[in-house]
Amino acid sequence: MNPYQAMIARNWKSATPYSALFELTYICNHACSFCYNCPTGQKELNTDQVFEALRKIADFGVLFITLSGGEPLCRKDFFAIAKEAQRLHFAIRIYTNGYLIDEAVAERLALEARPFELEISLHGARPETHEALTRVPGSFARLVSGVKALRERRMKVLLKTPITRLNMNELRDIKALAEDLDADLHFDPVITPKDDGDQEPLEMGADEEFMKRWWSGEFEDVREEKVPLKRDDKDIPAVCGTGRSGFAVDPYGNIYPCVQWRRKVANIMQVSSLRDVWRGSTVLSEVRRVAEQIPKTTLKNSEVGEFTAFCAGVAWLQTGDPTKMYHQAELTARYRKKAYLEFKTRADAGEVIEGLGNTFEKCGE
Amino acid sequence: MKEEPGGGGARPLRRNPTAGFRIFEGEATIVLPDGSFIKVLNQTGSRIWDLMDGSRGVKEIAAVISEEYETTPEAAEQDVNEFAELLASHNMLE
Repeated sequence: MNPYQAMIARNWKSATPYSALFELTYICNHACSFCYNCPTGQKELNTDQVFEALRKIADFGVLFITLSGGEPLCRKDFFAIAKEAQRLHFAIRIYTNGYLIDEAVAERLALEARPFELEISLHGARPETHEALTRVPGSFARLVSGVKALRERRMKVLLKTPITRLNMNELRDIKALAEDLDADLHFDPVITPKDDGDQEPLEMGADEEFMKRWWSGEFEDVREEKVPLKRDDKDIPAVCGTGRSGFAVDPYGNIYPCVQWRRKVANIMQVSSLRDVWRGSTVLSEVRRVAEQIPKTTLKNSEVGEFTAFCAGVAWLQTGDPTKMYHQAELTARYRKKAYLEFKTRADAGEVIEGLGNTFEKCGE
Repeated sequence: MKEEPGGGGARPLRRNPTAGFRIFEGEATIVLPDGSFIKVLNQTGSRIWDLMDGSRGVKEIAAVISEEYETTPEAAEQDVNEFAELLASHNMLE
């Protein structure tokens, strides 16, 4: 365990959060068909309130702040917020769709916001695929030029691609595009329900037949996880870091245990100190208890438990029970296990398989 | 001649202002914006990092370290100088 991993494990044990995701707005210039955001129509936090929230988060000792949305760059005060985050010594990450990043905005991001990483959603290797999901003509070209502008300024860009029925046949082209743009790339085979439990986005997810192919030799050269990784609950005996290593704040100031599990803990504008909330919240106590229970019950009792990347928030949205195995997790784990066993057979026959038996990072780790 | 990060001891040392960091239980975790460099400093390093707020030079920081860690001012100054050089080589100082 390196010093950083030791710090993460120590923070988990003491339930000291080091990261927060701040949804600055639900306003967005895209209309993605599977977006999980559910705006309520309430008034979003204004600039002063966002500053106050950031100060409370910093006072609590949080190091990593993710500025997200909606589309965070839609906020007119985005750069003022980013500068305040920098003044408070946060390590800043930005989630964006890239649509508003031209040369001038890229320059401001490099000089004023200075994130250590920008994560940008890419839905296809060509305009017709990407824009079928964003439903905004021209969004593909703007994303590509935006990424180029960021990379010219040596900013770290991670392109994130949820695998959908629309793009599942052009994943190699997406990988080639990311390489051309000199950006990192992450494929996500899991589509999540909306925050209000609406399951409609799942219809956009790739089908089982594709999932089988994804974890077969056919996509070995495309997957980041060439050899499927296993779970390890030794250092962090919980399904993830929900309610311990981080939390999420929505544009109205509501605090949640994480971005996926939307059980309201408190409103950041109504508390004087996050420390008090963190120690005294019954919601957080329950969330932590459930997160620790899942490896000992749900995953232990499953044939594919050690290959399951389980999300209590998704389980809650899909089944109403945060501990219940849900279809997507079980399906993915089944094919991950199958692929793992095939690699193991090859290793047993004498082939050197790099990474066999390695473990995956849990969400919030 | 190579210039020391501390300018011979008098020039104030200042952390890279764009570095994200927190000091938790005496240990600093630092992330730089130009490459997601994550560094966890030990307790003495973290204390020196904390003191590099732009108001003190090598000698003043060494004086604090010498007092807090029961070492001679000369040894502390050498340690601070070496540490400042290391930080500068990672772009962690302004």
